[in-house]
Amino acid sequence: MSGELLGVDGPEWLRADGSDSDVVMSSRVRLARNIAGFPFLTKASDEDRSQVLELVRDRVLAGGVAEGLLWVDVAEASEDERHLLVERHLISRQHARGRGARGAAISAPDERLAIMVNEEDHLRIQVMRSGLAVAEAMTQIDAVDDAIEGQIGYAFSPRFGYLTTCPTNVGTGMRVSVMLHLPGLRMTGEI
Amino acid sequence: MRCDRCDNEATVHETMLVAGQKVEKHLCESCARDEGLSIHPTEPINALLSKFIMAPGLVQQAAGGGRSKKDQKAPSCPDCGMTWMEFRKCGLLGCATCYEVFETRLAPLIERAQEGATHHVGKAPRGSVGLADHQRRLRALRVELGEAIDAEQYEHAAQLRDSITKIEELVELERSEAAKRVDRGIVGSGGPEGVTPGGSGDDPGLETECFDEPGGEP
Repeated sequence: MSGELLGVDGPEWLRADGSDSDVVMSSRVRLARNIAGFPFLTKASDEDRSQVLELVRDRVLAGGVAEGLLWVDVAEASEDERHLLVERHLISRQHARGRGARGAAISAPDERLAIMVNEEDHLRIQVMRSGLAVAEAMTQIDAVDDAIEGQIGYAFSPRFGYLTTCPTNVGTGMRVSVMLHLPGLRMTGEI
Repeated sequence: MRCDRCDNEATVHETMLVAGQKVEKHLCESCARDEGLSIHPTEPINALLSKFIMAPGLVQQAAGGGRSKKDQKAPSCPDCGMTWMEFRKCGLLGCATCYEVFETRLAPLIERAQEGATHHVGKAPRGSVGLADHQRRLRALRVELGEAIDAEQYEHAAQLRDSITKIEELVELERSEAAKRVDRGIVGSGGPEGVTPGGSGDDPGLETECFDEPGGEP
């Protein structure tokens, strides 16, 4: 796994070649999704977890979601490998040290797209871009979300939106963030 | 300086801008925790946000009371077995049906997390777009109806009321159709009608807070 991910150039978002990259290191959009018909992970049995993992892995890797996806079985990965994934912001610390069947689909070699399976929600989809590129990240993640939704029914409520394990995420299940290099901002006189 | 809520020394100070006005809070550690303010400055932003919204004092307030008998008697989720007390402890729900079972209790919390919004208006799975559109239209019509009544435009108000009734009937029809599809074992793309969780309820591995983001950032 590590060999395929350890590209010479590293992840795309670290290259500092995006818009406003003197200040904005990276832009990130994530979506939280759960699959209809399965309990959330708080109440999922080992069997439920395995079924969710297999379902997502098979459908996502079958094609149509994104090109060049690499599958990582996080539960089977070594500690070093999990550490590498966390450092590259491809999985969360929680996902790395979690328990039970869990995995991640990662677009290689650019590492722009990462889909965590069985984190807090069944699916945590993220797109990271170098510099200030929120709109581009949104466009990409929306297409990925549509492609997955075409194959797997999401838990959704007309009143609350996409249903998430933590009710603070319910709705679009989206979080948008940019990582800023504050000394850069200081040097350019912005603050 | 004394805590705003009790006589203890205030050690947590928060300054917020609310509608352009500076609002300051000075609290002791215990009251700060109760209001969901972090006393650990290095916590990831999403953990801070969750604690702020799910603060014990606020959850109680939103649910209409304290650790009352009413809370203990609240129904448990028929699909996964989650109880309201269990949710209050861990802040996480067990399945999609929990949102229906605890709807009235969750609504104020969600409203707070969404800065006052009570209904989803964003993206929706393709299969449920029709229903979401109807609901958006209903909300707009109800607002218009209220304005028409206030302005004493009763003829217009009657027309609006008829339109609302028609859409409500349509929504009801679509809901019952969706329920029939589920009964026949055709689970559509989401919607509470399309959710048939089979929770085991035997997993003790509950987390006490929302998970952090990849790498803790961004």
